[in-house]
Amino acid sequence: MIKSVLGFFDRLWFSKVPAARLSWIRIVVGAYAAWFLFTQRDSMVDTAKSDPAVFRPIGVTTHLSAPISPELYDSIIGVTLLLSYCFLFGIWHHVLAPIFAVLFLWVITYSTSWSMVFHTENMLVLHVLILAVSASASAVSIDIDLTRKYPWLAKLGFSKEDSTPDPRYCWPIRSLQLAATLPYVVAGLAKVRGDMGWSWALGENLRDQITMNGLYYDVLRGYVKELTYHVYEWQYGLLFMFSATMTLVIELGAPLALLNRYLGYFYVVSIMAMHWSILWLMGIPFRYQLYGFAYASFFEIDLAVDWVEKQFKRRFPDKNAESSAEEGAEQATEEDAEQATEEGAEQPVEHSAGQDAKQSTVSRPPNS
Amino acid sequence: MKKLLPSLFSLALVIAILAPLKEEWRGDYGDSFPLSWYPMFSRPRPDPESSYYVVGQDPDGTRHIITSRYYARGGMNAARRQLGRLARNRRTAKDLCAKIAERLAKKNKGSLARVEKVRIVRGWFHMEEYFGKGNKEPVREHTYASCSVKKRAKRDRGRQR
Repeated sequence: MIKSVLGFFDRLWFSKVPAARLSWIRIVVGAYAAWFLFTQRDSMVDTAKSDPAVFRPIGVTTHLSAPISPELYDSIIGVTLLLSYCFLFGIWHHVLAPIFAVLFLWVITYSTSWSMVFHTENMLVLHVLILAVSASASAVSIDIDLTRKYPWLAKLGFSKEDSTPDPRYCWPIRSLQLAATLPYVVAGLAKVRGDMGWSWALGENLRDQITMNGLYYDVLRGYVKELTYHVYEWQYGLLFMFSATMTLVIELGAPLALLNRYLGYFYVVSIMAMHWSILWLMGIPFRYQLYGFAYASFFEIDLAVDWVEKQFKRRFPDKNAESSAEEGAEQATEEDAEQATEEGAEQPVEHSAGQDAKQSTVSRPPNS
Repeated sequence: MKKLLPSLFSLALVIAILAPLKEEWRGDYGDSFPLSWYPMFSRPRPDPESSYYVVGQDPDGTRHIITSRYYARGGMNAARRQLGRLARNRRTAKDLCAKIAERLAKKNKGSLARVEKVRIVRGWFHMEEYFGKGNKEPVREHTYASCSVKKRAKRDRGRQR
């Protein structure tokens, strides 16, 4: 029994996966992180200019007894933003990515210390941390171009190219999936372990959360979603019951998404629908989740990229490359023929139209 | 060894994410970042529901909600937390009230230009009345700070410049 469980875990966590898959996930998550910092920088600095009396350091910022100056905070965000581009493009990955991840965590935690504890960036921070400590720049990155030219750079922490599928690209993907599912289990358990218990599924609490949110918007921002005025109508009661039940099912069942690829797809669609519902009903945008960035690890992005690349090449064939390949093939044929004549070999050398010069050399019979 | 470290890493990740389920591991303020227990939709809501806000009053006695852009930075939730923290302390509540009054004093247009008194309050509302019947009167209201809006004549302002 234990052996079969361990075997199952081994297959799940340590299958051979192409390096490109993890690299593309890094690019998707890195692009979002860079965009987030770029667009939120002013707002985060602005929040840090609030009255110091409201500052309550949490998490990794608890070492602070008082807030730092907004100018210093702005500079730290600037450095983090710069590092986010290095993370995105895969530059000096093994050194800069962990620094970026730690700074990214610190910058967002500091911003959160000025207001309520938001839950919109938790998953993003965890994903960045996982990708930063894994070999997520071994296929698509600037690092591999550099180490191809200057192999000694690999000793300094630049990523080396690796085209063979390996288990070391699997476990980070599984860890990313864990970070994209387990927080929902925690959220689901918080609901059913709370005072409401399983009656949370009846939807009344969900409706109350929506009206509470509506009240806050009305008295603080001066506007409220029109929908909030209708939530006490009977048809909405049914909608809330359905939504609450589905929320619990999706949240508590989230880790099942790791067991099977199709369960994963189903989970992504369900959880994204849940986040879109939250946006529609409460106006709370979980952007990282809404647009699917958070669930990139559930997809074979490398295969999708290959497919797009093939389609692109088919539609827009590179004429220069083709003609140079043909030239190369002709040249190789001539050379081969000459060599064959000289050596008196009888075997003909075959070349197909698309073969390049390198291939023709490889396809030469071993005895020629 | 090749699999041991990744296995331990994944195990640590699981433990870290699940840790906030235990009440003692939720940080000094009952929640933390990025490891949270996601309490946002879990607690039953009280009836009546309450919120901190800032209300102005014009000479006719009409109430005007002063939106958070007059006193807080960030979005709605950030403003709510900031206002709550400042309101609970008498000194910061007074300072904030004075700041809001000063800002309103500069207003020449719109309904808020007529506001002559500002209060930082916490109000309690019946949600079914509020949204179901459109009755937005608070059941009760507790004032933390109040101050007058001192409009300066245009001449004075010109002289100061």
